[in-house]
Amino acid sequence: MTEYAISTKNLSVAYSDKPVIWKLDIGVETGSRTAIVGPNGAGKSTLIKAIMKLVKPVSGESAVLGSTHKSALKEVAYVPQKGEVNWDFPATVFDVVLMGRYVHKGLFKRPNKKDKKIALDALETMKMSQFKDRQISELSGGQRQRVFLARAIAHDANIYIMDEPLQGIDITTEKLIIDTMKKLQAEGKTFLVVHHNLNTVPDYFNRVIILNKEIIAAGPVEDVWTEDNINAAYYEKSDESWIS
Amino acid sequence: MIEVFAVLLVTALATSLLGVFLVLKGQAMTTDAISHTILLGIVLAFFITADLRSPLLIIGAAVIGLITVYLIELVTSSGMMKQDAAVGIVFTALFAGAVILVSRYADDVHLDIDVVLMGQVLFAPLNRVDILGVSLPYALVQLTVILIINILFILMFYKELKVTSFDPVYAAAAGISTTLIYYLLMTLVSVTAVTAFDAVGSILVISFFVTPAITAYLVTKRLSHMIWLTLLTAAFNSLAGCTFGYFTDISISGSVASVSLLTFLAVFFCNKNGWIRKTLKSRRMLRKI
Amino acid sequence: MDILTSYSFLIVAIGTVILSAAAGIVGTISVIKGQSLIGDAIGHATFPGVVLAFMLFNVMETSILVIGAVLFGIIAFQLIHIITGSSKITLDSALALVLSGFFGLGMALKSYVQGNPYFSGTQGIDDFIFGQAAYMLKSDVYLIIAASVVSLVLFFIHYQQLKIYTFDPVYARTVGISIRFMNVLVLAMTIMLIAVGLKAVGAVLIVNILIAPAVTGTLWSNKFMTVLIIAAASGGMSAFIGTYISTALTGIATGPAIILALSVCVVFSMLFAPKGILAKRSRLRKLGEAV
Repeated sequence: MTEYAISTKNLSVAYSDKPVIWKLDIGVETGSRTAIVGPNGAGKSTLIKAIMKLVKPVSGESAVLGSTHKSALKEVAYVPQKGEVNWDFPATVFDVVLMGRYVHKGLFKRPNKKDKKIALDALETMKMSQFKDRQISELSGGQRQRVFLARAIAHDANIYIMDEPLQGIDITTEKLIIDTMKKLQAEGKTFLVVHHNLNTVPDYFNRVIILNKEIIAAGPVEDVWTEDNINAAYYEKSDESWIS
Repeated sequence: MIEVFAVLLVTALATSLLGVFLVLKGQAMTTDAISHTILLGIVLAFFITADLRSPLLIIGAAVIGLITVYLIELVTSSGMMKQDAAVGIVFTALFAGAVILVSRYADDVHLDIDVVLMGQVLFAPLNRVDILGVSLPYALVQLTVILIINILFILMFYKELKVTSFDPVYAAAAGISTTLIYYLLMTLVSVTAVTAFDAVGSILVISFFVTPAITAYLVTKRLSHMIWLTLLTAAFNSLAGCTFGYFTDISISGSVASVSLLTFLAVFFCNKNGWIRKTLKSRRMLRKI
Repeated sequence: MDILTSYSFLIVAIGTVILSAAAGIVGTISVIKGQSLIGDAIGHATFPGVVLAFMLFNVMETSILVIGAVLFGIIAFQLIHIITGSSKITLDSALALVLSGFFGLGMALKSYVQGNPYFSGTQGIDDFIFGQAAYMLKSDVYLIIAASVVSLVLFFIHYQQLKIYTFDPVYARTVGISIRFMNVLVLAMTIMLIAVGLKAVGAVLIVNILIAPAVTGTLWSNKFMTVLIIAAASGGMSAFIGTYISTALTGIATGPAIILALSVCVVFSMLFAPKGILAKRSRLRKLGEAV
């Protein structure tokens, strides 16, 4: 059996009493670039939050590298949606990237010279070195996404979970992010990415999970990325309506 | 006068230091709620000990402060109402309870409403303790200890406070407990508020917590700068407010709170990206079109 | 039993019941829009207005003090609007800032007035902090009735627009509803009720009668009209009970008593309403069993 980077068993999550994801069994293969696609409200972000144990499931469990324990999450670097944080926060680009090192620092310990070097290298990888002292509110959408990815690189995790990293960014940044993703994958890292643009799925990813509350299809892109599956997720009416 | 100012200054520093993170976390009104509800803790603890200087009062207030925060979280997270409605209901309910208890059962105590709202910083020097042979105001000693605890807290948890304020989801995913840090912070807020309560009253406590930090937030680009500027603003506000209140013979707490608002407004309107510049600029743009 | 028929109790009860019912209805808009604490900031900010009006005219006449309260309510709201609109300061911070600054100013002015022999009858100012319905006069009640009727008439004349504005401001714009006018309307109704309600409930706690009835209403229903009816009913009922308790027992101010009664309504609804904890828990359990 393949060792999964991330797996879930019978995972269901409900907000108040409406189920958002329902009995999911997922295995994200180590070293893959896996996309999660599905219509709005399909539970993509919820699935990610459940994997990171930020929401409590109604049933089932999720595991990182085979471990259901919270400490395994140290192996995960999370790249949030740009809108999730306060960009007016008094911090520079370098400050934010350095936060990626916090996970390796115990209580009461500050980042040292080595951590700063790693953060600077991560900035260089994302071609953001020249902006390192800029206040984060002065960045464009694409630059913000680069800062987030640089932080994840500084985190130096084995697994990257990204929530719509390509939303609202320029074409250069998109290319840079995909190139970086492919480069890191070659080093053995795993990517789980919520993705919106259906056209680019086959170019950017090698595996895909098609989700609409339940799993419609999952597997290698060449096998499951079919018109039937996409239609099943996006255009077929759900038999139950939760809006009364 | 010097001692009154010293009490104000230490209070201002101890509160505004925590205020930086309260403002960044968007918890200014939760702090306002706490500064009101701790009265209930003080009253209940007072019924047990019948001693206004008992340390149990601080514990009681801290517990009620945490209950306030917990209730707001509980009600909000269950989706039954929005956070602002939860803050408004929880604080008014607990405060109303405290006011009734005070007026009905503790009328003979000096817990009267003016003291609750404005404190009595002018009387602070009357209540003294001897430390190593030096006679000092009790409030000053107490608040200095709190200030030191708050400084240590910020120094020890600086990176956790920073990352959980900026990006709580990332922090949680990276194994830093946002909830734990938040409750630690709110415990210190409650303890600081109750210690300051007697001297400056609940209205000035909330002003001290948030106004200097909001003022500094306007013009700073780095967290460390924001902290230093907050402390400086807090010190300036207490000095100016204290002097003005002292010589015009009005409530010093009220005076400091008013001056703090004025300081904010001055910075808001006049800084280089402030309201005046912005408005002029957009007028000029309009004229060009 | 004699309390229920006593003239002074009836005067006060009529005033508080009408006030709380009207506040329940008007407050529903802010609660649904997630702006309920603006009422708190305005409530606190009216206090220096009351004191200044007293200083200018040196009379404890509610109708004059109310004008000062309204003026300062408007100033506070405008300030919050400017601060949040043209800087990175959030609403949460701006509210705390204005609330504490204005109320501090009020307390400073109060201490000046009460320490100055030129002013007489200054103890009455304290009634505006926590409310003292027992000292309410017939004229105060008339004022409350007038303000409540005016705001309710305004509310129901614009009922359809307010409903759309509350639930879908984007759509409201497309059908030609002026958001600006709606903002002003809601603000005017809110400030009016706060200003006349100060003497009964007090500046510190008045926000509760704007929030609690509306929250009770939203827990029981999703229909705007039903929410409004429940809000008005629970507001009026709690006001009656609170006023009764504060009249029957000595040493209990009316404002806090009304607020405790309202809080009981909220807690009851949080437990037993269709959107409450118990109902939700049983539905979640069913969901869990279905897995």
